[in-house]
Amino acid sequence: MGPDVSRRKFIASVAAAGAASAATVVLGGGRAWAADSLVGVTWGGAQVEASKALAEKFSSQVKPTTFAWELHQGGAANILPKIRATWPQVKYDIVAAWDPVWHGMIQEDWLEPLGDLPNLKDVPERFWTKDRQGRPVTAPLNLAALMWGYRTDLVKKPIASLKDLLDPSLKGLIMLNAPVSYSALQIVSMALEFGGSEKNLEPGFDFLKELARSGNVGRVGGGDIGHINSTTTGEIAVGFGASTNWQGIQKSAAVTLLNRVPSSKGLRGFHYTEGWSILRGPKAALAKEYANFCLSPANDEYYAGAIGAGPTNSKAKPTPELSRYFYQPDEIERFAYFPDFPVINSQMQGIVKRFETEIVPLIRKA
Amino acid sequence: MRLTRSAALLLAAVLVVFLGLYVFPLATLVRESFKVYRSGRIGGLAGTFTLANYAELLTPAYAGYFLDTFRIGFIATALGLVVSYPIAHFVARGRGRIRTLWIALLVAMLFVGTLIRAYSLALTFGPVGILLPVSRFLGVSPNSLTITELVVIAGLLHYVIPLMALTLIGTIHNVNPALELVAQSLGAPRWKAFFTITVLLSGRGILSAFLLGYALTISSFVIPMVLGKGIVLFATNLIFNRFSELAHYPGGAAIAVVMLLLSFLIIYGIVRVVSRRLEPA
Amino acid sequence: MPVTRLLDTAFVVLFGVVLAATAVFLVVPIVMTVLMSFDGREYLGRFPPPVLSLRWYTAFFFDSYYMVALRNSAIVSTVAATMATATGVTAAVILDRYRFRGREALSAFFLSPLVVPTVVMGFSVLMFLSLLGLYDGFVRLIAGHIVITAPYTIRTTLASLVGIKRSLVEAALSLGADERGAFRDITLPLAKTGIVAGAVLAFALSFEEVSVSLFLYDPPSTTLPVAILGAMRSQFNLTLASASVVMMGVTTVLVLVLDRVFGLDRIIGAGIYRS
Repeated sequence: MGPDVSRRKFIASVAAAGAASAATVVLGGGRAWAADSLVGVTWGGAQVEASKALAEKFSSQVKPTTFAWELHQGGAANILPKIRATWPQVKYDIVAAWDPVWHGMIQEDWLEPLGDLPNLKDVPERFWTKDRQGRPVTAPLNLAALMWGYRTDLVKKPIASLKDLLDPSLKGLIMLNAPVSYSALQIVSMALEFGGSEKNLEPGFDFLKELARSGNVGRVGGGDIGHINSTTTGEIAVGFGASTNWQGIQKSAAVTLLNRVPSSKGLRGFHYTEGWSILRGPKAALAKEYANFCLSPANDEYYAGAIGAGPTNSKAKPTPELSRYFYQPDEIERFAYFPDFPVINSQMQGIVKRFETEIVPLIRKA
Repeated sequence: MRLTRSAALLLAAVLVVFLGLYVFPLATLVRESFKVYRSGRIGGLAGTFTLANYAELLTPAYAGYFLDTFRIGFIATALGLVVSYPIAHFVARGRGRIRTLWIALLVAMLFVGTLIRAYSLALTFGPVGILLPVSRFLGVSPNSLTITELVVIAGLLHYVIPLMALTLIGTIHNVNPALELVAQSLGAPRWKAFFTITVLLSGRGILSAFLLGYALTISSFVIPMVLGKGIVLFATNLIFNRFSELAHYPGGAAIAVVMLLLSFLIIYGIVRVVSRRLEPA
Repeated sequence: MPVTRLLDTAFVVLFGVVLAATAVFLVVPIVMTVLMSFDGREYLGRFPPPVLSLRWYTAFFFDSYYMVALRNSAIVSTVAATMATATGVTAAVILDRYRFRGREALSAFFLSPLVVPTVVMGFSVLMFLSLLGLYDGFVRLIAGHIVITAPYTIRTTLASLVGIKRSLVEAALSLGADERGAFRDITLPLAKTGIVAGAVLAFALSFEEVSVSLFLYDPPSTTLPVAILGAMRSQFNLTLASASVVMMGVTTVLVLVLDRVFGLDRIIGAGIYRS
């Protein structure tokens, strides 16, 4: 009885395991079945190259893992419908994103808590993104900054405050971002300048209407690429964009950045973080190991330097050449602004609607 | 001729393809358009129902954008047709080197790629191209709405002319060239023979080409986005705004459904009217 | 009468002027694209480019990332265009040859996918295929591309069929051919121009398609436009231009070679009235 039963049981369990794995492959959709592999999503260019380099190091130093990479098409938000369409059978294990997108993912309960990542304690808490239970759910790898700026050669009168944007000499030279770009921070900066905040955007909209009527707006929207191309071709001169945009624009002409203007409440460097978030699922543990690996002081320094941004790990050294865009510790209080993204997110629909129905018609008539 | 059984079966097969790849996906879209959307969430909330996404569109501003889409698309398509017909006529009836080069040009233009096409058009016709001298010549501000609309139309023409020309070549091939000569030998001037014989006989083909072009122009989004500078907004641009970080899929879906209904009505209307008048003799 | 003669000449001249002007209008941005592909600058600048360079071509050809994507695009577009042409020709022939109730409505219905913006189409197909549990990138891409290109093949074929009189088929039938034979030997060859135009259109549009593809692809099935768009982060990657020029160059050479070897008339057809 003994050996027969155990053999039968053994065969049965093998069959069951085989059937289960076959079923997982067929029904499980995307999750890679291979034992140690991860599917990551990040931005192309320097980001994916740096991530691949760290992946290779991880694979040889920590745990052999094969990585497959998918690239963000434009903004990080374009991956969201692909996650939502297949949730919870999502094929992505680790997704690079930034604050507004993370807050959306938090609302959908997609993210794995990362409070137990050892290297996270070296990252200042102000750079963490927390879910509704207060747990950190991101491994922020770098800081990014958004700021106003202009081409020095195309602007006659130097700009010192947002009011200067109304000057007639700037006819057709100002670019407004589509509200969804950069989480409406251009509007937030206008609100801040005239006494408002993320919760009270009315002063921002009032100024926006004035600007729209003035005829100084040359272009609306187009994303990062639109901003860079419009500025490098000289179609527009003044805009609001990420530090990486300005780095690209600098290749074509001298740029004046408006992120260290002491007298202005709106002309600040708006900071957000970018990094890894991990989707809940069977691969979360392995993904967490990789994320933690990327967060070490040495690796974070490498990554931030490779993509031209500021590191988040307090033990990592920032690249000196980037001091134009990122602040020294004493400057942070004076010039940096850390927006309240959840508040902005909750108003975004209204902001977009107001922009389309109130602001664009004014620009058209100007 | 009435439908034979084999024809009906084949038609059913085509319908199945369209059903599976078009109707059912659209059904999920329509369902999405009725879901409640809360700012900050991704997509609509499952299991909810609301008409709010459609009610949102009942403002003059949005009606204006829809109107713009259909109006600008119509102008671009009509102009494109006027220009494509001579090209198709030349290619269909001509011979020789230039004709081959035209075919090569038309086909090559199909492979330009939407984004690069938009940017090369911006560099040629836009604010950093010939636009400044042209607008100065016309006495209008280069940032004015009219000029921007003209640039968008120029961009759409670029998109739509190769398509319509290639479609019309096939039509003109099957119009008897002898008829034009017969008309002329009976005393009609060349231009009259051309219009009343050849053009009229290719009527159904012209209709096809026009519908193709029109459908394309009203659903294009890269060209209005890059060349429209954000002040000429097509319905597709509105949809794109909602499918981005905003993740307002219900709102985007609602606009798409409205566009689809309006376009279907307009297209069906045009097909019906023209078909009646062109019922074969 | 001299006035009529003048109008006639004016007509012919106008015809030529329209052709020439359109040629210029169409060619100039193409030339612009070619120049952009040789632009040595790392950003999009004004015409003319001060420095010329082959960097965007080397970037394109020597990176397996783009070459694999090119291969994927070729596979997806060929399969999708073939199936779209088969579907389109079938639908067009039935719509043209037969009279039945709802014919115009069906015709408009078959055209309607064109009106749906590709972004929306991609999203909807993604949602639906996910409900069906279809996750493979290639399958999804081909499915999505078929539905957006089939309307073209239907319309271009219809445009050609329009001039083929029923009497021609009837003549064939009276000479002993059956319906299918008449279709194969009479209708199809005479509609060849429209069918070929539709197939070419379907392939071209599927090849440069990005909005649908970005919803439906997965890493092994990355297509060329998706690959190029993904590589553009904070820099306008002019590999876009060099890839375009390569494609345009290949098709131009193909057209010229086909004309030299076979004669274009034989391939695209010459209609009823040419030998």
